[in-house]
Amino acid sequence: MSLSDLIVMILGVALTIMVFSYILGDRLFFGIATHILIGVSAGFLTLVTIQKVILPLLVAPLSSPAAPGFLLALVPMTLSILLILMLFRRGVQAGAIPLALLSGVLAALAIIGVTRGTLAPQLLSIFSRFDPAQLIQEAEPQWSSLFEAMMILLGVISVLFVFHHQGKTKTGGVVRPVFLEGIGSIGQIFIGITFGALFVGLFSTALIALINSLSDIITFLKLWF
Amino acid sequence: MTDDHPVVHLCPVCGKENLPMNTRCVHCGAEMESLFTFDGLPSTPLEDDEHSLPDIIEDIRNDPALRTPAEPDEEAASPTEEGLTAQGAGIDSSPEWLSKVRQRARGEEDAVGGLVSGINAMDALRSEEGSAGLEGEFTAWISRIREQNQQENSSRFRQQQNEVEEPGEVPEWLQRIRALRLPTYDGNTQESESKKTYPNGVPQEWTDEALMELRRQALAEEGAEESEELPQDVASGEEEEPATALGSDDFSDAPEPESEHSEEPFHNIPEDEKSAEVNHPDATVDEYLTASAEQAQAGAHELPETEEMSMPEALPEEQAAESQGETQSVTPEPSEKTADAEVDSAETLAADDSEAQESTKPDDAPELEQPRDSSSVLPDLLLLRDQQNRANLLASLIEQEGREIAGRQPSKQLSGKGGRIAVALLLIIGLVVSMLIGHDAPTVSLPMSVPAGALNARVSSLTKADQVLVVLDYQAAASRELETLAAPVLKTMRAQGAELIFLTAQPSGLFLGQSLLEKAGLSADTKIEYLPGSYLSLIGWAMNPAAPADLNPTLANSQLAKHSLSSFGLILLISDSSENVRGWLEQIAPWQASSTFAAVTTQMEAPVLAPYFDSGQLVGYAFALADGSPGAAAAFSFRAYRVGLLLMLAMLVLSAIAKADADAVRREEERAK
Amino acid sequence: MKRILPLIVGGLSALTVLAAVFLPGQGSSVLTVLLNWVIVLAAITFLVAVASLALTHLRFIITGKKGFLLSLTLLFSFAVTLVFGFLRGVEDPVFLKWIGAVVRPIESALLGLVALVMMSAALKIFRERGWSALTVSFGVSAVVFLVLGLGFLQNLNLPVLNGVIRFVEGLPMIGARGLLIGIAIGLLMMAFRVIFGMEGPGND
Repeated sequence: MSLSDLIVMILGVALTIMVFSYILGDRLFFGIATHILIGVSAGFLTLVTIQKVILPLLVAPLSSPAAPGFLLALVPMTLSILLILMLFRRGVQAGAIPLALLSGVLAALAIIGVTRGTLAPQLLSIFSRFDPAQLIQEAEPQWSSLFEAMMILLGVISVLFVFHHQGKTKTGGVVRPVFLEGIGSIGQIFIGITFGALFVGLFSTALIALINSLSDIITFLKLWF
Repeated sequence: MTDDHPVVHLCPVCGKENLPMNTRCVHCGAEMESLFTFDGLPSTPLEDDEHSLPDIIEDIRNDPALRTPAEPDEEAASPTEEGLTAQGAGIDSSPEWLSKVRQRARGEEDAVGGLVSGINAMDALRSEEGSAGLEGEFTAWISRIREQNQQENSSRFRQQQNEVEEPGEVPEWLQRIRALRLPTYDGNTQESESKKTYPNGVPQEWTDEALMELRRQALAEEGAEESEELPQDVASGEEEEPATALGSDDFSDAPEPESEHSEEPFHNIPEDEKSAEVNHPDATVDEYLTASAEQAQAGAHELPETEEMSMPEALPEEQAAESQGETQSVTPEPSEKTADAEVDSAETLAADDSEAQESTKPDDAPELEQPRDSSSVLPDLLLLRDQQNRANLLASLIEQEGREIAGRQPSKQLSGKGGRIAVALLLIIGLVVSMLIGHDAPTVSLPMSVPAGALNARVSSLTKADQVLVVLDYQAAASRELETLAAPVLKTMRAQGAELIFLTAQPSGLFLGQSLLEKAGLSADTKIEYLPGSYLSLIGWAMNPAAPADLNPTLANSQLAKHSLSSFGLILLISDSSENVRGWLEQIAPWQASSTFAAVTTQMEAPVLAPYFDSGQLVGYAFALADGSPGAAAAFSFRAYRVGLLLMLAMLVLSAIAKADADAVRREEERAK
Repeated sequence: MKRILPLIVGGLSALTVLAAVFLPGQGSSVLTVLLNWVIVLAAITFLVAVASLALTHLRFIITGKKGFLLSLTLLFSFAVTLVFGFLRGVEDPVFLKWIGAVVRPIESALLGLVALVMMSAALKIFRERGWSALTVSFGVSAVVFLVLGLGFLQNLNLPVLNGVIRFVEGLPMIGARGLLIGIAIGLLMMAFRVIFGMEGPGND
């Protein structure tokens, strides 16, 4: 193990312990560790942004006026100045134009992407399960496939009804028809199952990270004892 | 005068004692003829009497026994109706010569003078009374009602007196009240009438209803809707008593039922509270608070049920207070105390019960001073103040519920913090022990998940001609897990001879990628390029691969410029964010029919990617530790992982048990209630 | 005017993207240029945010606000990273190694803290949320997937059990699909609202 590796290890263990000190109610070392993280990350991202985005996409075209991208680069240049004006109190309003451009483009992309990438494929996937070619194989009905298809259809519809909040407002609450309530309850079960899986998945991911952190500390200690 | 009831009437049937006002014996029910019997006059039972009052008066006039003078000096000293009546009777029974003189004087008005004119006016009035049939009927009806009330009052009085007092013993407060009444009846009746809202002035008969009304008026009660019946009752009581007809019997009857409580002036406080509790067994705290606050603020804004229970107990003091008001109209010195001051002084006095008793105890002081002493303690106001204090206390307690109290906060925080520390230490110790004990981490050979199997199958089908775009899209936090999963996949790809192009959609991929390359056994010289804007940079290129490259300087300078996006048979997304994977599938995949997409992700994001695998948008994805085996198992202690999962399992089960237990306890408590 | 101009800019840019998508030939070039602008603007926005962060902490240090030592730590690490990055370049392996040496353990430990917090949360999850279809199904699902995560059942290698496990592992997909479709519909509505000026930076 080289000296730099050793230093990296010590640094890593020290920072890990500083973060774990949060368990004991410490705020100072935990704060130092998190502020170091923020500072280093912000510095690194700033560097990458400047070197990988600003310089090639904004500064480079502007530095050569003869290039065809010069005029095109003037637009982001202008919009960038408006954004920078947001740092000052009087220039906050100016930032609305570049932000409007950002939101407009992203909204349009979302419409296209959601429609073509999620809604259509997912809905088609539901209905494709009712394809007779899948449900009947060798002249025999595939009851398990039919059951699965029905359950998926019911599950998706019921989950969608969970978020269906339109109804008569009565004393501030939402009153829904009984059948909607029933379907919504079924949807809650499916959502609960999904959330349970997500919960376990998140815990597993966090547990693996914890085990790795503890493993680093143990490895470091084993070096000395 | 029957003020103190020193004389009792014996029942002619059973021979037992009865109050003078009783028309029937309270013991055997036999008719008593003593009521309304004036001295020297025959008894005239009203209930069975078919004669009208004018006839009775006529009989009285014609009765020779009444023609004899009946001690005019003694009766004249009495200001009561009885005295007046007796006086009148004495006038009527004047000798014949006097009548002649009067008759002559009527004819010769100028000769008689002012004194005789007044006498004549009185005679005229009496003759009008005698001739007024309707009015007489009305008076008879009133008398019957009065008699009925008196019977009820006397029966109550008898019961209470048997329990508490010696027969014939008059309570002190009653003596004071009677003493206070004297000057009022002497000459201030009209003044009292003008002051009171009570239509006909102070009621001569202290019925419960009348006293209730008095109390309400005195305390400026505004809740008329809750005592709708009261005005009617009071009106009926008022109608039976003309202002000028203050019968001594009527006056003496009413306070007697309250004699029991006169000994305990403050007894009404717990009683009222008790009645409030009785009346609100199922009421919520808010309702009780509201009621208490109303009582406290509005004075005697009682609930109907409470009113009936508490009113009789509060009567003596209220009478005293009322009497004081009347006395003040008589006495020349005005009261300088404000209501609050009275309450404060009352509280001070009420602190000691005996002291309060003293304040209500009659002494040798003049009668007009007694009310001031007694009124200095106003138990009703005391009650209100007490209720108000309790209501305020309860309200403040409810308001503070859920708030963090300065003194309570640290201990609460400490317990939560202690529990958190305990659980955290439990997990850490469990993990550390599982990592330290035993041999190295056991080799785990678990079956792959279905999506991982599909990914493995796709990777295994790669050839040397295939190009794979590997996109690193994760942060440092999940790098260990993803590297563990992705390294075996990359190794397989490398083994298949596929060309791997590395991109990173996150700046962090620049320093994280090196670790992945190292774990995957790839050359450290493998270039990992940063793709600004992630998939946004590739949308145009994905739409039209033939578009001029100089429009996108990022791509023009990268190794991607040598390739076409559609040339990548597999695009492997190593991501800790299902959102980013979704972005690739939504924005790039629809334009790339020839490319297939796969993912390596964390367990956290796996359920969200499942629908995309089901719909075929992802050919497969790896997420579980077993999906990366055998490399995964060797990477870290699977035993510790299992310990962690078991502890979490235990926590969830404990939580469910604790909740079920708490519910059971709560149900038991509710059942017990 | 302050409101209309951003609305026009947002609407026009959205329409341009939509038009470019439906005209793949020339549209892709327009879209590429437009997206480059977006990337630049996003980068500038990030830089503005970083500048704002640095200025804020600098103000904390100057005014001596409580916790200014942490601000000092942040600015120091920020400055050191910037200086070394400019000197050696962002792709320098040594530089990247040191950045990784700092960022990885902290982020990993922070994620590890999540596990500890989740343990505490699990202990009172039912007490806080009570019993409902959602919580019961959540609890049962969590317990089942924890058991499956242990791997003991899979090691039994029973065909029937494996079939059941496969079925159970597929159940979260149903809810996830419903959620995805719901989110997609919501996103679609939101996007239309942005385009029509009902949402967005100009609509204060």
